[in-house]
Amino acid sequence: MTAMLENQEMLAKYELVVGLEVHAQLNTESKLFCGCSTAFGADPNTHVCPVCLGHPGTIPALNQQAFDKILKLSLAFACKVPDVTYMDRKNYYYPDLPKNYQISQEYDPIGRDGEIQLINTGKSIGIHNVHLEEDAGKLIHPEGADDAHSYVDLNRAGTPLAEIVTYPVFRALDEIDDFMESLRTLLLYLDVCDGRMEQGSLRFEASVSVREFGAEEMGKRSEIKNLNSMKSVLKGVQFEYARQVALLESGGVPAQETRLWDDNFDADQARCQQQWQADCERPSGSRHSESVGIEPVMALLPENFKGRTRVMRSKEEAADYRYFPEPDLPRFPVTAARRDQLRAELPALPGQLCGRYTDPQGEYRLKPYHAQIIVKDWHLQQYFQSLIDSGMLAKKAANLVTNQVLALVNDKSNDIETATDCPVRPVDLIDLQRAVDDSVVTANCAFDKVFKDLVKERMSGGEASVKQLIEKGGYAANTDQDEILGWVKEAIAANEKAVEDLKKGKKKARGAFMGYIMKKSRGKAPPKLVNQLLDAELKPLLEE
Amino acid sequence: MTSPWSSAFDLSQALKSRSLRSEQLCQQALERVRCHDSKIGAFLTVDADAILEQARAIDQRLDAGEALSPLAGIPVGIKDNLCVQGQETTAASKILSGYKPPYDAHVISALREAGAVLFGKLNLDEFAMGSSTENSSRQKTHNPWHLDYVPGGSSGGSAAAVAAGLLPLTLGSDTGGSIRQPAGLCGVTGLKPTYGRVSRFGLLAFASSLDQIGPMGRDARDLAILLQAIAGRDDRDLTSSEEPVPDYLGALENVDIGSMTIGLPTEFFEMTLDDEVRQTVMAAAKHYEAQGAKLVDVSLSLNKHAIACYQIVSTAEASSNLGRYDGIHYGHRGPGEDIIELMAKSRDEGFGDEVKRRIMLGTFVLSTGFYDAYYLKAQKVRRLIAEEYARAFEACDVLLTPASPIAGFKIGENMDDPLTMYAADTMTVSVNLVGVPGLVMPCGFSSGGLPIGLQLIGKHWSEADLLAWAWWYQQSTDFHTKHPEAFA
Repeated sequence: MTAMLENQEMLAKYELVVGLEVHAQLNTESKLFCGCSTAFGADPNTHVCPVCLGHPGTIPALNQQAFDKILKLSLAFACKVPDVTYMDRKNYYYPDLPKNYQISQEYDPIGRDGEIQLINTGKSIGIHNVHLEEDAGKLIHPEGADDAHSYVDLNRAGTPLAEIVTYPVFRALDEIDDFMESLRTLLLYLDVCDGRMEQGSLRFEASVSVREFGAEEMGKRSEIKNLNSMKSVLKGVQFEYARQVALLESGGVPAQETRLWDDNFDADQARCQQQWQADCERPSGSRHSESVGIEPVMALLPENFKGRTRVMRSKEEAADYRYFPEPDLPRFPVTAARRDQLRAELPALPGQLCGRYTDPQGEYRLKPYHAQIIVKDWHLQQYFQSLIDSGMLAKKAANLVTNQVLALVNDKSNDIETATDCPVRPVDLIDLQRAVDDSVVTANCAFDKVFKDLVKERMSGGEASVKQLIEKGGYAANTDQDEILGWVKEAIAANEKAVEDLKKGKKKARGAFMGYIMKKSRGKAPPKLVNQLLDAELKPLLEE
Repeated sequence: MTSPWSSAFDLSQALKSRSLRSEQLCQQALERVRCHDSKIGAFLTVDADAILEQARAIDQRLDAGEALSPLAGIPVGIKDNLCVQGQETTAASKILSGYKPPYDAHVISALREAGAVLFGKLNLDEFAMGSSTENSSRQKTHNPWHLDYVPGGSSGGSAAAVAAGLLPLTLGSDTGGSIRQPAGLCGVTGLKPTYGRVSRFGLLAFASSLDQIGPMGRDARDLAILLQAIAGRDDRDLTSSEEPVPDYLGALENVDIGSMTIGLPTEFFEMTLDDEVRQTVMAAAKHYEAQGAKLVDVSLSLNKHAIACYQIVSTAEASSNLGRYDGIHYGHRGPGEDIIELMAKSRDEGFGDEVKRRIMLGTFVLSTGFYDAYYLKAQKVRRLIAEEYARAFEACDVLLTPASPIAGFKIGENMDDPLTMYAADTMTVSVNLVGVPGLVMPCGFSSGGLPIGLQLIGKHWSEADLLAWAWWYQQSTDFHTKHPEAFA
């Protein structure tokens, strides 16, 4: 109990300070400096040419599409964009970097001092800079001891990247979470990156330091790499905060260093404890800073916390990148006209869209709740927009995407991860709606039973039309007036109390008759027709 | 009637009239190489079968009456820092031994297009770093005029092959004088075009912001033919220019020496300069004056900083450009237990001393803490030198200088003294820093029988004028028609 209290005090004493560095692969068809494809998942070293292999004598030629996308991103952040920009070389030796230098931007990034609005809180996060660079290839270290080689796959080498660096403005995990989601959404809206973290097209690195609340000076920061999901970013930051606080409390001082996130670490396992111990006891010459036990760190973390950061290199070991302007490329002018044009072409972003969708004088007039759900998810928004564009009423479309479509996306038992993956296409829903409008099928039946059949059909690759599925399932509306009239009469006879209630003005009582009739018709009686007949039958009774 | 000294222009006429066949011409050239190259060591590789095959293919097209460029059927020698697909390209470095590029350099595609016969690869200082061709990891090249003397460098093989009458035309590259200085020492004509005139795609980079490929040959008219084929925009090298390419051959005739103002940069004539060189070059200036050209003194006072500025800029770029030679993907691989050792060993074994010296210098000037004091400062000086050139060109149309402060030096003479060696470029480096074109041609001989070269420096994109002025000079003098007796 006392230990718990101490921990609370410690956490209350130290402020978390985080800045994020983001690498977003620009979704161009070809690489930044050559014509090779950027498609993910090809056989190793098949999307390569002399230029991206760094062969002697080759020269980079800038991909205009990539340049436009990075410019668009800078403008969307409202960054300061220079009139003329250029690339720099970052020199370091690594087998996944064929030229042994990376073409990047160091001295004059395409965008400086911008901001991004968080979707959930509306807060603005400062962007230090945005710049263009080329991705490296991948090193593959085969698992298992049979193969001692490492392999190089250069398919990714030369893929255009946007590097986005925030100011160290984050003080809490939920803000980091909000930022990552907001940024991903923005990238999708701008059509500059596909945001697929699992394919490595969106990658985050976190710079973490702690300081006592009220202190002006920043603590020494560690940079965490290898964070391959948003969840690991949050856990990495959380761990690093605990480690630095524990280190400070034990009289140590965090070092400026680069650390790697390790998902597999489990502090309860003896093997992991030994690893930690071994890291602590490294030769002092390498000045690694694991000089705090694992227990005080774990004490500051939630129970059963898994994973840790470990040292990759310290500041002393950091390379001198010898940046200088890339002499193989000319300077690129960014004319005011070009900037204005791209700015004018920027799509409506979530905040603006939300306003547009909820405007009481506007054409959509959605509930804020619906609008929020839709704009936060670019895929859902795109789906919604296609429905609207095909003439569906906004409210109906909003209902459909936030219920039927979202349910499919959220259902973990299928492979559907986004509305874009949804096998039931907007055109299917348009057909379904038309069937309802034409009284071919009742709305209830359409968006429940027919929809489910549609999902099954499309997921199995079937192309049967909505009409065919309605026939096949026997969902067609029942328009037999006599039969329905019979059910109306039965309903009234069976619900005397409801009749009495209606007489007293309790309009809700009507539901009892509807329920009865719908049950009898198995949902196929068109509500409009039922209402007409019911009104006619009830009228004499109510006038009594 | 062809002789080893025929101009490419005359050969072209003969080929077109079919009084000469390319196969026959190339056979003769191969025979010359067999007889004489052992004395001068200009060639690194000559593939006779491939040469004759190209020649026969062109003969067929000429036989069929196809209208081809004046280069069609003419053998052209290639400096070995230009990529030829499937043919070993080493830049005379051990680190690229066995490397066969998977693609053609832009200039090579252009030559193929024009129907030229690619005739072997020529020696150079390793990665074009040097002024004597002594830094080749393969062999030394000798000056045909005096075999104890260097041919200059780095395009020493390209210059010597023309001077010895092995080939009428060759391609060189020029980063700080590497076409012009050897052209001067070997008594041939060479042109470094304006930066951006010729695509560098496929040129093994030494210093990207200075490198430029250019033609070497017997006279300005031949250079016009070769430049015509290789000049122009290439989308694979964005530093190549969209500036229209004029008709160089046609422009040779439109020359009015009487309206020409020639600037003599006083500093170039005041520096440590061989008396014979000074007198010979001044005599050439007087030759223009006698025809009505106006001679004016201009000042290029910043030229004294050009070598230092050049050493910083060129080595900085080289240190990065040569980073890719690490033994992983191609070329020489040294032993190594781990990746770092493998890279280090490959580079240690693969690079020669001069290349290592420049990589170290370049690495130093780009290092944190030194970048501003060296690299940035050198860039500022470079800009000032360019501004000074621009001012000089307000007073004159062309600058006339010696190609080299001395008529030549012996093999081995400067090898232990890099600073003296670097000074061999003192007449030529500022031209690369500024990006303007420079042409060198012979204008006399030293008492020791070595050629003395004259340099004409023009404004940006003035290659047509430079060639025309040089062609006029060559029509009224005969220095360019002399050849070394040993190779007659």
